[in-house]
Amino acid sequence: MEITNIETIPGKRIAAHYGLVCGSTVRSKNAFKDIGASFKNMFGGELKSYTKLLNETREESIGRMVEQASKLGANAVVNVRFATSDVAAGAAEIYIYGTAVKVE
Amino acid sequence: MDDLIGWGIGFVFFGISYFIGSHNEKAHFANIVEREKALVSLPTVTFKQAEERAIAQTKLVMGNVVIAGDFFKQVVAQLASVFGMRISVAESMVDRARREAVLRMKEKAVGADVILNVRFMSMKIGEREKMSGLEAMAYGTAVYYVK
Repeated sequence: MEITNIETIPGKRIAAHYGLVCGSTVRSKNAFKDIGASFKNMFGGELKSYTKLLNETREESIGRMVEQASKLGANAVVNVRFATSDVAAGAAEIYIYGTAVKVE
Repeated sequence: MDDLIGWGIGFVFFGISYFIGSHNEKAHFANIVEREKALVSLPTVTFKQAEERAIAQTKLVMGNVVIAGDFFKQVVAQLASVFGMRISVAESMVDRARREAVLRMKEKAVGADVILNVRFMSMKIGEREKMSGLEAMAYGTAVYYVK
């Protein structure tokens, strides 16, 4: 599965469009990891556990989008966009959407 | 008396977090500059057009980082926002986060010739009123030409 955030797959021709596909994941923070984060908040720096959590969440969302696209018979997703929203206190939604296409 | 001790502890933390926080930030900026120099041969652009050459592979690449603000920054930001001043302590924080995100994205695109359509996204982490943290993310399409 090829994924890009531009309208085409460079060097390939789009043969068919299958419409919008999306993947969303809602994750909450881990209270135990949060204790470490609050210490870090004293002196600044990278919150590695959060970086990892958000990265994993995005990978998962992409996975869900890819799954949906492959069910439709697509072999690529173009013009992928990312969006986030606060659903509840301490939880975030990561939403990824794009257009499923068949390229050749 | 209790109030005095509370204030005292606050001041001590304020001082410590200033020294440790600014030391960490300086070290991080030095690291960023070094890695930017090493990766300068991989251009990141905001347009979408690839060159008219044979393309071997295209791939979505992204990099993200969560940077926390320190106690010193929080206090300064709160004071500055009373008078509507420029919050330079926050500016250095977001600059650091975005540059780190771009570098991580570039590091994932090993061997690529260009990264097209680079976009940024950022999200606030933690409580609303505090400057507790910020996630910066960069993503784009890495293009590998046929060598």
